[in-house]
Order: sequence, then C-alpha cells, then structure tokens
Amino acid sequence: MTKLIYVAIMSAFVNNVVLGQMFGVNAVIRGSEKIGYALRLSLSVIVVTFLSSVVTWPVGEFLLNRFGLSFLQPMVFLIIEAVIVLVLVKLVKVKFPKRKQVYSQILPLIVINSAVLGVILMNVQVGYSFLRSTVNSVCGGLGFAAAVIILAGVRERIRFNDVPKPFEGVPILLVVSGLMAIAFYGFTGLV
Amino acid sequence: MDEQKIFRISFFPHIRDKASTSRIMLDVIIALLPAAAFGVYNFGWRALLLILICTATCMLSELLWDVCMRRRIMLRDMSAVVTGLILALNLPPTLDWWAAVIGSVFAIVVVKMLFGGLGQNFMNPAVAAKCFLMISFAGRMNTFVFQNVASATPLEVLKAGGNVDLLQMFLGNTSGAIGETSALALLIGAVYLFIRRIIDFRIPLFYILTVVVYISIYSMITRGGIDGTFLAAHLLSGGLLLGAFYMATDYVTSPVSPSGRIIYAVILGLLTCTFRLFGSAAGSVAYAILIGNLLAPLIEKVTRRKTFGKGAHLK
Amino acid sequence: MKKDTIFKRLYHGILIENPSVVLCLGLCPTLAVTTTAKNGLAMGIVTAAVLILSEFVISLLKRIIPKKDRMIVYVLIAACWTTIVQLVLNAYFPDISESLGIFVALTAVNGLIFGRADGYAIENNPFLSIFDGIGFGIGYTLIITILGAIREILGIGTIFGIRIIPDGYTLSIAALAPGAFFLLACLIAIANKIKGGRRV
Repeated sequence: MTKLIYVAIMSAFVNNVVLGQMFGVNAVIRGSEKIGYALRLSLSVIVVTFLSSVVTWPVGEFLLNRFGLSFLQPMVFLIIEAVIVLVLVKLVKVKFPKRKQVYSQILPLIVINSAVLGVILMNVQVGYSFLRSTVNSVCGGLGFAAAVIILAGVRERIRFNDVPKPFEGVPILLVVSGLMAIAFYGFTGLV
Repeated sequence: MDEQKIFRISFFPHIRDKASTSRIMLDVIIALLPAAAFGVYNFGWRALLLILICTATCMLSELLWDVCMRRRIMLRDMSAVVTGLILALNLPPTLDWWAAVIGSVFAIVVVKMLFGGLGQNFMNPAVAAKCFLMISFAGRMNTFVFQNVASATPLEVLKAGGNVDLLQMFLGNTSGAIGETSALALLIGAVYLFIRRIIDFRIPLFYILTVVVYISIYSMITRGGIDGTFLAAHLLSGGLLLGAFYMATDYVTSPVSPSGRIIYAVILGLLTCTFRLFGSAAGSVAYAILIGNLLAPLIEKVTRRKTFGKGAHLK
Repeated sequence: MKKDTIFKRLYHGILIENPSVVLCLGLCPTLAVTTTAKNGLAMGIVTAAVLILSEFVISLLKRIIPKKDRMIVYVLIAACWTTIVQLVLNAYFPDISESLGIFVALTAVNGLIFGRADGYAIENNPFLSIFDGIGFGIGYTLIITILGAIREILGIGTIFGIRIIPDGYTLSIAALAPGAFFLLACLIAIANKIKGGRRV
C-alpha cells in the first residue's frame, strides 16, 4: 500500500510527466491558453492514459514481449491509443451531445500528445507490474493536469505584462515552465 | 472582458507613486536589519560580504537591464535592494561569492525583469533564486557552519532525532542560513512590519497556525502525544519565521483577497510540514512558497470578489 | 525552376521556418535529450531520418490518403519509420539508443512530422518533399545540437566529451529540466530578435 502511494506521488509530482520527464510539453504550452480548456484537456489526458494503459500493459507483456516483438510497442500502442480515442469520441457524441464540439477537438490531439504515449511505453519498458502501471498512468495524468492547469493560471496572470518582445509567446511560457520545474523540485525529498 | 482588464490593473501594487513604493521597501529593509545584523554578528565578515554582494548585484542587474531595454531607471524604489537582502539572508554564510552573484542575477533578470519588472512577477524573485541555487550548487548550499566549524542546523538535528537547545535557537546562536537563525531578531522586525502596516497578519498567522496543527497531529500519531519541545523547535528552526513574515507576505506574489490569503497560507503550512517531515529538510519553506506562488493565480480566481451587482440579477 | 525550389526548401527549413525556434515544434525531445551535444546531434539525425522518410511516403500516397482521417495515416506512417529507425539504431549504435531512451520511440508523435506532412508533403511531389524533410531536419538538428552543447558546457563542463570547465564549478541546473526550459527560451528569444530585426 505504501509502495503505491510512493508510486503515486512519484509520478504526479517528483518525476512530473511534463516538468521532470519532459513529455507532453507541446500539449501543455498549446493547451494552457484558457483555464477551462486546460481542465478539459487534463480530464481527457487522464482518461485516455488510464484506458490506454489498462489495455496496452497486457498486450505489451503477454503478446509483444513474449514473442520478442517488443520493438513493435510504439506502433501497437499508438494504434490502441487511437482506437480508444475514436471510441471515446463516439461515446461523447452519444452520451454528452452538448460537449461534443469541444471534446471531439481535444481527443484526437491527444493521440499525438507524447505524454500519453510516453507514460504507457515507460510502464511496459521499465517493467512495472499491472497495478503499478495503472497507478503510474493515472498519477502521470494528474501530474500533467497539475502542470497545464497551473500554467493556464499563471498565463492569465501575466497576460498584460510588459514582457520583452523577443520573449513574447512561447519563450516566456518556457521560462514559466522552468520556474515551475524548480518549484516542483521541492517534492524530491519525499521519496 | 473589459471590466476584467480594469479590475486587473488595480490588483498589484503598481507604481502609483515612486515615494510610496520606496517607503514600503525602506520599511522592509529596516525590518530586516535586526536579522541581518545578527547574521553578521553570528557568522562574521563572510555574511556581510554576501549581503553586500547580493544587494549590489541585484541593483546592478536591474540598472543594466533598464539601461539596455531603455526603460525608466526605477532603482530608487529599492525593490532590488530588498530582493538582494532577502536572498542573502537565505544563503549559507560559506557560499562562494560568484554563486551569490549568479543567484542574484537570476532573481532580478529571469524572475522579475523578464516578466515586466516591479509588480509583474508572479514568483518571489529571492525565493526562486534560493531554490535555483539549491538545485545548481547543491553541495555548497547545504554546508552550514557555526563559529567557523561545520555544523548541522537545528532542523537537521531535529530530523535525525537529536535534541536541540530552544533558547539558543530563539536567540540565534546556531548554524543555518545568514538570516534565519535568530527568531528574536526576526520577530522584532515582524513587529515593526505590523506597526507600519506593511504586512497582512493573515498570512503569517495562518501559516504558523497550520504548522502548529500539523505538527501536533503528527506528534500525536507518532509519539502518542503533543511534544511541546518538538513543536517549538520546528517553529523556531529552518526558514519558517523568515518565510512566514518576510517572503510569503510579498503582495505581488500572493493572492489579494483575504480569504485567498488564508487559503494560500494554509497551503504553505501543509506543504512546509510535509516536505520537512517526510522529505529532505533543506529549503522546505522556500519550495513551499514557490508552489504557493504558482497556485496564487488559481486561488485568486476562485476567491475573487464578485463585481458589484453581479449576484443580484442572476436570481 | 526545380533547383530554385530545392534551395528554397532547404533555406526555409534551416532558417526562415526553423522548426525549433520559429515554429516551436517537437519541443519534448528538444528539452529532454539535449543534455549533451552528442545526444542532441543523435536525436536530430533520428528525427530528420523519420521526417524525410515519412514525408516521402506521404507525398507518394497523397492521392489515396483520405482528407478527413489523414492524421491517423500520418501517425501510422511515422510510427512505421520510427520503428525501423529504432531497430537500425539498436543494431548499430546501441549506446546512443540507450542515451536517447524512450524519445526515439516518441518521434512517432513528434509534432514536427505532422507539421511538415500536413504543411507540405500532402500537397507536393515526393522529390521536393524529401528536400523539405532534409531542410527541416537540418534546421531541427542544428538547434538541438547547439542547445545540447550549451547545456553540456554549462551543466557538465564538457563538449562532445572534451572537458572545458573544471568539475565542481558547473551550473548543474543547466543539465536538468529547469535549465532546459530557460535555455531553449533564450534560443527562441534570440531567434525572434534576429527575425524581428530583418523583417520590417
């Protein structure tokens, strides 16, 4: 039990998916324009990562690795992820028609979000158990959520700032991310 | 959208008038003098050197930036001096001078000027620089001395389960960062800040209160009762007092609304204790404040005062 | 006419629309694997390889790729080439493969590839697409190698393994995540400054 808590904290904060392992940086930068969008993006990432991980772990362990086909992991996992996203899009259309518009835009973009693929690949390549993988995935998603939502908040705060011209746009956001990464270092002692 | 824009401009202590901002800064400097003086007394010329280097570098960095960017030179508001002073007080007295220079430049250029200067930074420059240095020069930032001999800080001793002398911790005769050892000196300064109405009582109050509650609960669970000495030791050690009164209270980087400030202070308390008790002792207050700074915009959003008349016509 | 356009492809990819500092694509590997110059260079070459091959194939197949679902097709093609490149890397350069780690596999979802696939390959002929890939590949590799070099010098004190700054005086943060963010921000800002100066 404590080991799982350790894994959870590890994935979400200490080795934050975006700020520590540097997956999904693109998604965070583009997705943090508005806090509302960031929230929806986070939810989508958590759900997709969780579902993908649940499916890809057995496939990776029992199918690919057993037959020496581990080099096919990226391809296969991507296909699985894409299928899951397609299913989710259909689901949203049916069950939440009001939100269809927004989520049908967000979900496909997740396929090329390296945060999701990164986490599910790591789970299998490092050789975590199923339970640990699942916890890692959900918490990795939470870590992503933390990064993108905090960045959205800060972005709103600095919207009218006098940032020097060359730094306007992506550079200043990278500086903010760097400062966030420094702040998250505080968690390192925890595990 | 437009009302938001107007509302925003009144948020941060923008420079309405050069005199008032510099007056506030001057008061902060005065409040920090007891701690600084004691630091020099406790650690000698090296502490004085670091204080001078940090303040000078901060001022120089801001001056050069303003000149190069062709802005109005606003050194007279003394905010750079405050940043340098706070940073210096957070450093171990044995830190190499060039590391202090790098930290000071980082504080002013990256954390403050890159975001537009006074009032526009979202993160406390001195605290961010301290953490930056802790990551960059981990070894150097973690060596502490007392009376010129390498010595563990009271917090380190506490973590290892040893005993600490509360009286000495209160007076400041221990090892640690330059300005954090003397609770007495820091409290004197804090009283001055309250009298001059520079800081909001809510932040230090709820920060420290949260720490008290957290540590008490921790004591009850792990030691079967509230250990007064343990609690007092935690309150007097590390950067807690320095952070609670001088760093967390920075107007620019903390939430504006009263309820926001309380939430912020509680979060700081929770993080500080969690880092201290379950993580490494070094810099728990600093990292907690940085994370608090990151959450401040979101806290503000949640606790923002409703604009006049907004609730009424929704009914 | 064709000669002009090859040159134009290269010029665009390396300078005007440099993927790293102008378009800001493919940020993840740029930040993550640039801990040393060698890693940066290797990652750049890997990405360029996948880019060139993907653009070539997509351009060949451009008439059959369905417009609505073209993203999925890009992903599959990129993933195919990534797998092949990864196998080659594992076989001939195993130590590099290990340094780059999982980011070789993540090239399959590198925004740069989709950017060029959708921005050029889908509408132009295969021959020029190859050069588009070469141009943008070189541009990308150039920047991430430079970033890797800077981080290596500041953070570890060496460049391509040759020691320049004595141990113990290095700014470790440059080799870590925060440093990557700050330094890349500076590079992009420099590029913006240069760009701003040229264009009126």
